[in-house]
Amino acid sequence: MNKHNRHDLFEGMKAPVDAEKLWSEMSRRPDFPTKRRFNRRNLFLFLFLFLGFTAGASLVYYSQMKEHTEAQHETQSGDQQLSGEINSRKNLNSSIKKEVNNNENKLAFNAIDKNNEVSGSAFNSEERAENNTGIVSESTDRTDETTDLIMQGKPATDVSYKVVDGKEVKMYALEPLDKNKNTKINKEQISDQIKTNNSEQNNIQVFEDKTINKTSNDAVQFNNAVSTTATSNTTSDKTNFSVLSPLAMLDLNLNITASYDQANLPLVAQTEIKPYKQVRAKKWSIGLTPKIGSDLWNIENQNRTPQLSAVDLSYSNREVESESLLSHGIGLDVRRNFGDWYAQLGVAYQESGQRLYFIERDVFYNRVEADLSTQFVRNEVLDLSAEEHYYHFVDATLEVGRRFRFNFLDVVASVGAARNLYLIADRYNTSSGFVETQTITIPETSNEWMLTGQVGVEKNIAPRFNLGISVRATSGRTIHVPQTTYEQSLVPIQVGFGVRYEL
Amino acid sequence: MAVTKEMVDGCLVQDLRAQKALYTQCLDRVYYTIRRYVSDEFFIENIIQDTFIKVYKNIDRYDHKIAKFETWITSIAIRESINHLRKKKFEFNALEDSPNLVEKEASPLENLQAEDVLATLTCLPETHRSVFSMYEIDGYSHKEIGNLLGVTESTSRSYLTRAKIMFREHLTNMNYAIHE
Repeated sequence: MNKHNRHDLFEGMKAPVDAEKLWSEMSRRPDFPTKRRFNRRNLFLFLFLFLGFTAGASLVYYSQMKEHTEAQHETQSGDQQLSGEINSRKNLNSSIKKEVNNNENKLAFNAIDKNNEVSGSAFNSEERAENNTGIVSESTDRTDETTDLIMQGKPATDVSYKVVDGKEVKMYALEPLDKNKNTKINKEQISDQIKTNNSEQNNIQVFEDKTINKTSNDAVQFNNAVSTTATSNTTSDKTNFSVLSPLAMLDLNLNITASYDQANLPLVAQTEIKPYKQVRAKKWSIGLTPKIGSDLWNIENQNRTPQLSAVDLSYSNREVESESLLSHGIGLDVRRNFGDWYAQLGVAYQESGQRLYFIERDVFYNRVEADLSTQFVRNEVLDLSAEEHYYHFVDATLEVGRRFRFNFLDVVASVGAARNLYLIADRYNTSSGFVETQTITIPETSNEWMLTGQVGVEKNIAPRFNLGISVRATSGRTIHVPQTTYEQSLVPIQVGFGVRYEL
Repeated sequence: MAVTKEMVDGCLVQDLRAQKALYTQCLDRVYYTIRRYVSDEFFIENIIQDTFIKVYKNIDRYDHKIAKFETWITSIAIRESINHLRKKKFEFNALEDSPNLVEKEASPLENLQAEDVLATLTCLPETHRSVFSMYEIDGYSHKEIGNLLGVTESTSRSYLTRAKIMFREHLTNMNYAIHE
């Protein structure tokens, strides 16, 4: 030292900064070294909101159920599986698969529901093979009919007509894809079969109500099957929306999502609790995400089962430099959902070009992400045959602009691609994001696309307590190429709430 | 109130309450230390955070027999400020040496208020401001400055001389009576 310092000049001067805000930000930084302590006040607030929402949701549920019963609404086969899980891009892949199944089911259901008196044995191959009438039987076991269309190689009747509820219902016969065993078909295949119908050789019948895509409720429901994807995405986004920063040390995450869809009535409220523990070293991290969630209520799904339990193990190698972030990792996600098993193994790469200073705020520019993953699914509930499927996904995200984790209004565009080997369909789907576009192309049969927009805002209302809300709108069209028809899908509006509390 | 042993001990075991007490106690000092080197408020807040996190992480290295806590945390704040400046274009160019003028001159800080000092410092280039602050306010020697900034002692002297001239010129422009 050269002499006495002159710090006395500044003695007594108050720093012109918001000390509490600065402390709050600093203490939330993942590199802040402290033994986190549970904040009772925030815990009570958290529990209060949770219980309040649960009670409210229950009231709405019972109210809806009562109306539902009185009006004898047609029960729709909602996308129970979709509404349940999902918190990330990888998990979204599972939803897509379910959605496809659901489309198949939905088609079956629509026909059934439309005619009301027929509840599905039209698609029950064994019954059909035995009675071989081509006329819908009187089976009322709807639960059994939440399965794929089944065809079996026995002769059946020709095209016939039947009047149901004053409407003429035309019954087509289809050629089985494989005469030696039950074979699943999807709606596109049905379309093909309808177009090239050869009644002499066919043995399975599918209803086609000519009014179905025009004015009936079924048309709404059918399209809604497509928009259910958006519901799934919304769920996904909602969770993503409060998903933990990969740099966070330990968070307790609770999401409550309620979706409103004009065709489906209020559908689902769900919770998901996801403690997240991550051990970090300077250049690597390993995370463990046990997760459990449940539908609080789901008006469509009367046979509710616990949603899922899942373990998500991931390892990532990341380098956080002062102005950029580069990470790559490998993840394994195993879960069981409504009786279905699936496991996913993936690798991911992420790079952010310019990182600003608050890690906690995630102020990144020009983020690039790429994921490669393979998903194994054993579907024991929706598929009678309990088949096993593999899906391979490539997902890429390009994010331009700022992204604030807290108090943010975020705009992200992302696009992904996946190849669903089982359905031999090229799918171009979205992953997490707040502004999304989605295009689904199934070669030679139909082309579907969807445009989805979402705006979300998350507010930090206490040092570790965040409340978020987002609104999402989806629109799209389904174009059936062989029939040169297209359907305008609905524009469902969905509102999601996310609550996050960090330990 | 000064930083207490309880605060330091609490920070040693990463007690959040003690960390906050220490933060509250030292925030003003840390702010004005950084403020002398960095003028952008956004960056100042970042450096404050970095400073305190570094303090919490390395508090086991603090030895009260060697220095007061305030002195220790000030030195960390200075280092963090210099680190921040280094990330920007912060280069010392060769200046003509004027070694004998520096130490003999009276400090230009006499009779000045803190606000005037800060306002004047803001007008200096970052390099000159840094050397000036370290020498005139933080009491560093040219050898220490040289080590911290990675320059020679003579370069430090040259920058200090230039900084003093600029400092006085600015004060003159502000119609201050300068004590010679």
